[in-house]
Amino acid sequence: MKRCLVGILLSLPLVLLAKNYTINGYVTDKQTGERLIGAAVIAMPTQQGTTTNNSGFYSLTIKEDSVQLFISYVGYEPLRLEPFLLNQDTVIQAVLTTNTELQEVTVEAHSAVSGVHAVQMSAVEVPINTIKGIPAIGGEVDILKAIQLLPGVQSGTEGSAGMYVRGGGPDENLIMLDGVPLYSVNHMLGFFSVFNADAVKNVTLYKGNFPARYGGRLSSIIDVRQKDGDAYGYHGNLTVGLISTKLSVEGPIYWNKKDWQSYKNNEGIKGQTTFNISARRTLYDLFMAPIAAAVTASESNGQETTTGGYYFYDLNAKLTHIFSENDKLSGSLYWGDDVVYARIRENDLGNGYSARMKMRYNWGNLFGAVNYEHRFNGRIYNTTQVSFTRYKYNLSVGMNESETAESKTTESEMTMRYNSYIMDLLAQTNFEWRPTNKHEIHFGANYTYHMFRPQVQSLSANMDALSYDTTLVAGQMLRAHEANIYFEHTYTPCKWYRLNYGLHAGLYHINGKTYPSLEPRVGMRFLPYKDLALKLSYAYMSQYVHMLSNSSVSLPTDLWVPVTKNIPPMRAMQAAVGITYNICNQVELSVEGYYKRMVNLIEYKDGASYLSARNWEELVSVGDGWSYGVEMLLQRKVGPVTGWIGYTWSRTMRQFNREGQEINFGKPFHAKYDREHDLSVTLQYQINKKWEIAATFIYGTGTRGTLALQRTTDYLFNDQVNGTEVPIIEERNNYKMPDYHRLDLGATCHLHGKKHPEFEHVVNMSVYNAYCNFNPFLVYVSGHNLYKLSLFPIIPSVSYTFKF
Amino acid sequence: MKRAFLYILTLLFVLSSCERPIEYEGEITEPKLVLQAEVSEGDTIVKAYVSRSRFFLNDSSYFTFTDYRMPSATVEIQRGGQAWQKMHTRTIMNKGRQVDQYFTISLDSALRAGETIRIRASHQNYDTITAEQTIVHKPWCQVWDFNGQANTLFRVKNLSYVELSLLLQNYPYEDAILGVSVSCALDIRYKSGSRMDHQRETVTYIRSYDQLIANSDNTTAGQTSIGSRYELFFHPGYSNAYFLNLEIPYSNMSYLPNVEILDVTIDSMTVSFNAHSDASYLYRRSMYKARNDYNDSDFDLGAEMSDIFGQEEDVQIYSNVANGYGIFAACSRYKIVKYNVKTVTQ
Repeated sequence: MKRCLVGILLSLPLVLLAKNYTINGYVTDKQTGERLIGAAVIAMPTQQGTTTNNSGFYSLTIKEDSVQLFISYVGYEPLRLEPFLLNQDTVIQAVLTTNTELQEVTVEAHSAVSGVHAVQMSAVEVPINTIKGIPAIGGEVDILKAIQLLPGVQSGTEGSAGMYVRGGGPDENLIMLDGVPLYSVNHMLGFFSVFNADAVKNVTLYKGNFPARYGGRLSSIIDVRQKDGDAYGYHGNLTVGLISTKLSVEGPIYWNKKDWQSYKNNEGIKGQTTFNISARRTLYDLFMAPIAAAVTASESNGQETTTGGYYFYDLNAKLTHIFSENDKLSGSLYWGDDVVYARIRENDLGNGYSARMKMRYNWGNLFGAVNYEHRFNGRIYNTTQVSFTRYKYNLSVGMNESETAESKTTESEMTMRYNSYIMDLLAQTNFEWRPTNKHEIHFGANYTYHMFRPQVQSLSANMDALSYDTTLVAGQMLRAHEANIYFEHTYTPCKWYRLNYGLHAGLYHINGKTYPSLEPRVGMRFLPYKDLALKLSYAYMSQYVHMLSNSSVSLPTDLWVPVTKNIPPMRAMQAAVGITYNICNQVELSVEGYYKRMVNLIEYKDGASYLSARNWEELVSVGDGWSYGVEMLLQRKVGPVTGWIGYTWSRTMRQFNREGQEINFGKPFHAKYDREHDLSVTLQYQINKKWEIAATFIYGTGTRGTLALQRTTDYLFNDQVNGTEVPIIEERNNYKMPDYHRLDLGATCHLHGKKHPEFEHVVNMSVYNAYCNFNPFLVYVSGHNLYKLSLFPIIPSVSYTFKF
Repeated sequence: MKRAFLYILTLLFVLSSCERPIEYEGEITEPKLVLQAEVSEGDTIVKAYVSRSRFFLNDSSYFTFTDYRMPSATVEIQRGGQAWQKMHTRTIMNKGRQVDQYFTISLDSALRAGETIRIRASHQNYDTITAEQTIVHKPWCQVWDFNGQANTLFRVKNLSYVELSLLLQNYPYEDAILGVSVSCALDIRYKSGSRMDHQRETVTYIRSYDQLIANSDNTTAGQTSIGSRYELFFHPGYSNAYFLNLEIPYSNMSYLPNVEILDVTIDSMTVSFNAHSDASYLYRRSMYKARNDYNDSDFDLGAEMSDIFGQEEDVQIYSNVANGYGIFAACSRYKIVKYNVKTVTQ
């Protein structure tokens, strides 16, 4: 005993004097060279660990000792490196091999740094392969639709891509692509999102406990990262489905002949420059337009020809160049539009009159970003970005007429245009610093120049020798400046306790008015047992823009407007408490309760069904809201059957009682999307290497609407609203629509040809709404009856993908 | 054309829609008594309608008129703190058919500004309802034309609208919301091709671009309408002399071929200045919004699309009746009537 004590005492100085060294590097995919986000890196035997950042970079600072690294990532074979003596700062690049059979050891490793052990709560990382396996309407895989299946996230009405996260509205979600915010993320009135799953590498959702580096929205952060591109060879997919056709191509760019020759000789030379391009377009209109033209011409005996249609397209492109292990430059581009068009031609059949009319309505996003990443040393990593993002919509209606009478021909033409846009120019820089393994520090700053251009209507005409070109309505261009700085510190003093705290501070300046904000964030994790964690969090958020929309579908005319002197910024405070439990390294259970309080929300006043950008402030009221609930997520990531069960119980209320801005007479009322119960079950089963099947079941209590339960007649002024009646509404959103439920099924078959086994053929079959439940899209009263309008019955679909 | 275009857009997106009736599974509310009455300064007779509401899935057809008045109700009125007085039912018949039925009472003295009136109605099958109003002062205004000449009120401008100029002086009363409404009977003489004719019409729509008219929807509204009567409201706090220019547009008969308007004679014009209590104004405003009776001359794409998807927020009709529905309004009017004022030849 004495000797033991002496030994311990003698070795203490050695322990105290032991130096710390940093191991750092990147975790990449062996096949493509793609850097992996969120991979777990654990150092044995101390079990100190971390995860890779958005650039695939990790950094661990450990005491001088014998170390063995263990690296794992979902969908990849775990990597266990040879033990080595850590006596200096060391760079280790980890290369992982794809393996879809997830092993328990991967889950265990992951849970050592994420899930149970992570201080971050209310966050979910959804693997892109899981998203691709979820059955979807028309076979069109959709990232936002997959996120809607998570607890705490509610969809709007049938088919809508709108997201209502913990009682917040659809404009309270910060959706970013490669760090750039997108204002409108919907195609086809919200039935599909703008994200092409083939171009996406990683998706992370934050519903609460927002890291201090994020700000600008109240309810959620969705961080979507695009793939850099295959560094070792050329690959691609061509998918033909009922909704759209997609093509993705990625590969390296070799700048010298030697590397190019090595590639051709299959020597596996990694390209320093990679590209990734994905494009998608619907094809329905290409088939229907000529048919419509032929039919209308036939029915009018050649007098009139009408064509028209709708389509949407996306283009995602990314170019990445790695200068060295310390420097990387990338450029991202997204361009997508929805287009509705019509052309009507009236032909001259001898009466001397002909006319042509063209209409084109398009709306969409364009964004571009240049990103520079630099590793200063093993402990400090920097990402700097300049970017722009723009959302716009245009309507153009043009008419040409020609009339011949008494040998004289008169021509006239007229074009009316209607457009609006919002554009941001951004610059941001972010630092990550890991001085020791107990400390992880993030800090940075960003600046955004906002331009809001509300509607502009212009008319140009040329008739009867008169011509004019005039702007009928020109909304004032609004310019705003937004600047933010943040600091965030994660401190792990011991294994059972971890603390994360931070501050996001900002200034928003518009029209001579400046709005400051200080947004504290804090999160704590306690680990009473190895597989059980208790977490607490608090976050304060501010939002300086609103989306004015009064419809359950995503309309292109949904307008983004900034705060004004009369309409202050929205603020939200959210507190959450939860437990996370790892069950036998097979299943992870998390249960969270939250309370959220929101102020300065805006809502349309009674009778306001639309907005004119000139006077939108007069049509809205400012008020408050609150939401609380409990969420449960049971997730399985290992074994042939994977998936999750998510359940949410919640209440969401609003109250607008400020003087002159009362709604519902100032009394609290249910929010439109106050769904008390929400259940999602999604399962995927890998039968063998060739076949996999999937099923998704969704159940939710109905959303809310306003119904006039009583009617009267106005005898005094003899005035009515509907026919002979005056409807009496005693409370806004007093009616709960019928419950929503549906089952989706899917099956995927992977085939390789005998002649060209390197090519893969994937056939996906799915059935949306398999038991054909007519879920309500709208409910309305007609006569003595209540009616519901449903959109989608059972919809089978099939798609084919050729992978090369 | 624009609307048709938007309908094409809607149809393209609706892959397969289905309408079907559903069972109502929500709260079933019971009918309540409905009180509708209006009182003015100087009234010696008070009139009130009492009826009952009905559940939206019951009773009357959407398109036919069914009488839900309650002649068997007991209706009483109280002035100040005096005793309650019972109102009597009165039925108006015409050719053997009932054309009107209401409760009425003759007062000992005319209603005075500032006086508080209470009404209550009861029936054995319904909760007793009550309402209270304070009589508002009758407003006073003098009308002048824009050239500073009294009694030369109106000018026909561009043969498309009548311009009415008012000099508003010393409106001292702050207990009410002031509005103005107009009824103008015109005789329009026109020529269509070689044919000459004239058309009579009565116009009640007025508009103003004047800053004095409230256009904010916070506490006062630029415009409301009851039945076919339009009314413009002033900004609250107005009290000083100010020239107010109103326009009364009338039909330009563009539906006739080659029409040329020769002149317009104003047979008669009634300008009414109305002082409303808050309840009176709020009821009128909510009824107006519920009918969505906007006059939007600009094409607003957002409005069109939102309208197509039927997603407007429903309007809650204002009521100040406790335990029931309806309105007990105080509105005092000051009218100016002019006859055969002017004929203008273009």
